[in-house]
Amino acid sequence: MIEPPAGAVILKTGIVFRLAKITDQFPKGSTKLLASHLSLEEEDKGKLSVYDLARTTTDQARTLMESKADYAAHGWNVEDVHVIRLPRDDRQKLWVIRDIDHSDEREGANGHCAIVGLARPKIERKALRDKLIEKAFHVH
Amino acid sequence: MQNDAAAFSESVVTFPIQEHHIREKPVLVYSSNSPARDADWLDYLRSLPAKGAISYVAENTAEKIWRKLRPLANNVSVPDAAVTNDGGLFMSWDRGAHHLEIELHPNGRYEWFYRNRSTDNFGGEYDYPSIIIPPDLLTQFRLVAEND
Repeated sequence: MIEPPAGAVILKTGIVFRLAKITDQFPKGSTKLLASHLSLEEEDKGKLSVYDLARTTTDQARTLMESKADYAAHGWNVEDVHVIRLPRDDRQKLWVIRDIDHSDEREGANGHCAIVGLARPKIERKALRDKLIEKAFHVH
Repeated sequence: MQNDAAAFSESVVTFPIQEHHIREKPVLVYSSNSPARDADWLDYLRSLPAKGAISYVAENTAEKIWRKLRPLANNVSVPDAAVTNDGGLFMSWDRGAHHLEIELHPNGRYEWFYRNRSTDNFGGEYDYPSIIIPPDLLTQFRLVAEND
């Protein structure tokens, strides 16, 4: 997905976060955000899953993951995501949109969002991921 | 190096190799703490296949690449690393403005990506077998090492 789908609700402000799986990370105990934590899976349909911190706590997100793995939470200011650009190209590349599964009534599920715009040629996607890493901060 | 979005290619991005990046002979100088950290790194790598975290092929590839890169730079420290969702291994070095990443796939092939976070120049190459370390990757690895 390169652009937000028609009708998508685009966040303007706030903080979104993503849980990064840190099991088997090196050095041991490291919680550093790596580009591999921002990989798009086929089932993601070009959307990088994140949560709106105003609606979902990091503990709720961990519960929603239904996984026993260890995770670290990394956040972004929405405005910082929206100003990311590629060299010599002033067009917006990434958007934070609401991506709620309304059938999911678990606590915090209504904070699910997605960063869209990463489904690009590999070299551009890697550059955008690295820019996201530069903007990220730890969230507790 | 390309930094023109219109000229991006999936597989061909070249970097200017500057004179100060080229040494007549590889120099192998370990700092006092490097051997221990190298040992930790190799222990980590070798522990992963038995846990089912990555394939033996990916582990073998990682070790081959590390043994080829390691002697080429003074005092370079081991990478940050994580297991990828498909059973491969991701490695990265962030040194000053220099960011280098190598992603190993379960089938033993790999891709690499470099970005200078100050100039925003970036590039990379994809789908290499472990026996090939392209000159541009060596150049970027030395850049990282010089800033370690």
